Amino acid sequence: MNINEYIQSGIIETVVMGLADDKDVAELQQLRLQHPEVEEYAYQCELWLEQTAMQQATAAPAAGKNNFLQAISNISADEQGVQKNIPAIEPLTTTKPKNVSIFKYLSAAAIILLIASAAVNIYLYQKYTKVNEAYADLNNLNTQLAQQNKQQQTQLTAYTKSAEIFSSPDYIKVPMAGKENYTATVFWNKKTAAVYLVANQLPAAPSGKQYQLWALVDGKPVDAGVLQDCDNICTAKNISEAQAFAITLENAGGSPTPNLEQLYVLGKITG
Amino acid sequence: MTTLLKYSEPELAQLLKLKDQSAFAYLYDNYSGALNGVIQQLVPDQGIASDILQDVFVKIWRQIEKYDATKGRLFTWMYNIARNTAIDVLKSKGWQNEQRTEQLDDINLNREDMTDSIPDSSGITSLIHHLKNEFKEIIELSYSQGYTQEEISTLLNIPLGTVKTRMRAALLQLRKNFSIEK
Repeated sequence: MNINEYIQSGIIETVVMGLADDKDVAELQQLRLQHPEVEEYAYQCELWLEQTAMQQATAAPAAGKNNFLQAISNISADEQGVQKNIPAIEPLTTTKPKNVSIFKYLSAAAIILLIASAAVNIYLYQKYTKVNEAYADLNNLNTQLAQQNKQQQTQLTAYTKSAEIFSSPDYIKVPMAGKENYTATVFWNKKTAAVYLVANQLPAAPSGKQYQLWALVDGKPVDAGVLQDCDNICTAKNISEAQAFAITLENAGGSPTPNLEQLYVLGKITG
Repeated sequence: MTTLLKYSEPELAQLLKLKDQSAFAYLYDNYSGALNGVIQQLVPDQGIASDILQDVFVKIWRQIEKYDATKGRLFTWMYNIARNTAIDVLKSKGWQNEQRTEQLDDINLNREDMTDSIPDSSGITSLIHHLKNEFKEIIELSYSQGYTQEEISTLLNIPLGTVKTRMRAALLQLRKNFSIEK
């Protein structure tokens, strides 16, 4: 760069008078430090500006000086106090509470919603528990009813079967009697060998013992099965040939031969 | 206003940086007139100019720490604060709506008339009036109305380089004329 050209270009005047852009201002600052002749010219230019301004001075208002000194001492006092200057940022402090209050309302609303939601949840959970209990009760009841129904079905089937047997001409009725008015009845179908037993009056078997039915064939006892818990009519083993039936009390599970001392009832087949 | 110099400029700057009250009183006594003149060339209304002047001195007081003597003289620094503050007022919306749109219309519609219609005031403004037309226009827009070089380039549809060249030449002319007058 030709420094003389730079000096004579008028750039320095533009900068000094505040009409130049930032780039020109920065360049002059740099060149003033590097070139004494630039510094000298710029200094003269600045002097010229001041002299010109002095010549063109117009009197400031009379009260101006006192107003100014008053203003700066007020500002000083404020700044020495607890930094009272902060209120100068009023636009911020007036908008800030707005945001804060909006936030407050929002958070209050959120809390209310949360509480309401929690209350509804508790209420619904309680209701759910009650309904669940009621459902379990109904389910149990249903199961009970189903069992009862099944029992009754079984009984009904048994009764139907009994009725068939009792009324059928194919069955021979063999009444059995014994000591102390104990009675029982055997229904025997000679053709099919089916044997059914009705314990009309027998005491409950003691624990560890069971009643056992015997068919007497040509004077010999043949096992016809032990009496399980049966409703009304019990199914015994098939017997194809017999002259009489008898019931003894045996050890649980039955015996191969009857204990005649424990003979409860006996009935001969007639006809 | 006293012209008796009590302080050298470095001394004054030093005291101002210490926020010395009497130094600021001295500053006001010695420079308020010159700065008031600078402001009034931009904002002729005395009432508004007074408010700006007050504002400028408070700014000087607040920002004096930022003044760097290696970058230029104290007066140049204060002059620029005064000028920029006045231009900010000129460019503020309220001011533009009231006063400046008319002038802008003048510039766009009839530039010749505009420069002729500038009232004959003192100092630099009156000297601008004696510049060549192509200089007058640019100096009027930049010095008196605060347009940047780039804005002028757009406004007059002239390359930025030409704006700069003309402005520099105009200011050289202005400085020469003023020196002769003095």
